[in-house]
Amino acid sequence: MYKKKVKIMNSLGIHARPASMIVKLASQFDSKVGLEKNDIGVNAKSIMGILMLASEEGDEITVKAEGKDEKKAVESIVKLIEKRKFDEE
Amino acid sequence: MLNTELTIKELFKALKGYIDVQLLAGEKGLSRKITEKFPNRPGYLFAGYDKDFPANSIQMLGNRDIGFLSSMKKKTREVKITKLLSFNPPAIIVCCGLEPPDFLLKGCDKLGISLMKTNAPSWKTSEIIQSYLEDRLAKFIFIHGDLVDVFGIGLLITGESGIGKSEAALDLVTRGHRLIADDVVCVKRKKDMLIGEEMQKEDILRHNLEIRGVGILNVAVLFGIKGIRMHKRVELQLELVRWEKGKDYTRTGLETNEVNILGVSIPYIKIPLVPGKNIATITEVIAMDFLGKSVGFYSGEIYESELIKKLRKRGEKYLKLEEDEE
Repeated sequence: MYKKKVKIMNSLGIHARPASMIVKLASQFDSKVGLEKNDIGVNAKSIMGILMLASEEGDEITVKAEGKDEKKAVESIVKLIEKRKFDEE
Repeated sequence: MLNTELTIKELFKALKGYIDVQLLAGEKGLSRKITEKFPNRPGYLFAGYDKDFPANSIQMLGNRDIGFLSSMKKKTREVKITKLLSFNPPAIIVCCGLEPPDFLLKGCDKLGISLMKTNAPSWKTSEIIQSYLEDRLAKFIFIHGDLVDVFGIGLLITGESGIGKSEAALDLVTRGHRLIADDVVCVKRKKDMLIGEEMQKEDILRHNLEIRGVGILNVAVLFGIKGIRMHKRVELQLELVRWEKGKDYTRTGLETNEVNILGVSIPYIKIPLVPGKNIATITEVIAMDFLGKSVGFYSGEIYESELIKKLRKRGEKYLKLEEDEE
């Protein structure tokens, strides 16, 4: 299990488009990938769960993964959220 | 597993929806947290028994408690009230429109314990507090899956991402069944029952399905009110799995598997997926079979017992032939 905390950086938060980007990215890995906010964990390979977290700008979420490529999966999702800001800004 | 936190302020606000209730003293105490579901009547404490006192419970003073206090001498009464306050209960509520003693009012203000008053009788107040707290303080977990009401049976469909849970749910909705939640089901334990609902509390965001290749679909808009349901008892778990050669699946239905969710056991069925299999039909049949079993009709067992009877009879026939020595 590998996990990392990340802060939502884009101003709209995780709406449908960023959520689908996360799903797309997470689905490329064999590991089980999940997001967690306020102790509520959802599957990162499934869009509705991510949307239900209703993550806004400034919220802190945890990205975690378990499996062979767990580290790579977590790092790339963290990069998408924090550095790339979902290519929005 | 998660536990929700609840403040006295929230409880106070919620109670207002059911009964008239006002705050008399101890406004500071509104931020206190409540963890115990059952309100307590401190009668035994006033009578002098202070062992096992449920100090985390809301203390309710009804006719008898207030009557008992007023029958005491002033000094004894104050000792009893001091004793009650010394346990530092989360809140105190006086029922039946009775006036709390001044000493209690002052004590509550000083210690920051909320003191409420209602005109409702104590049995009603107790019932409302208990049912509200049971609901709000219920243990809950989030399960990755879909919850659909099929012929009145709450079916929890689980399985790995992309296996077709949402598609199965959509298929069921088109057949007239009702969707409770897609993708994430919030399952709460209420008494010995599991209640499932959507995690999303805002109506506009509820009852959406995601179908790969299509996108997000709003079931309430597409199928109308008959296609949705707010919450439902979870009675059966159905796991969709990829079919694997050599793996053993239930064939006769004589043995039942169970899964434990929050300490409640419910039947669990594993359905291997192969091309051409109609999950919606199978799901409907599973629900009907479950209904049948709940009235005592076990298809597999009936078949088995009839078969054994028949085989025995055949055995008798052979015996007769063997015995026939003509």
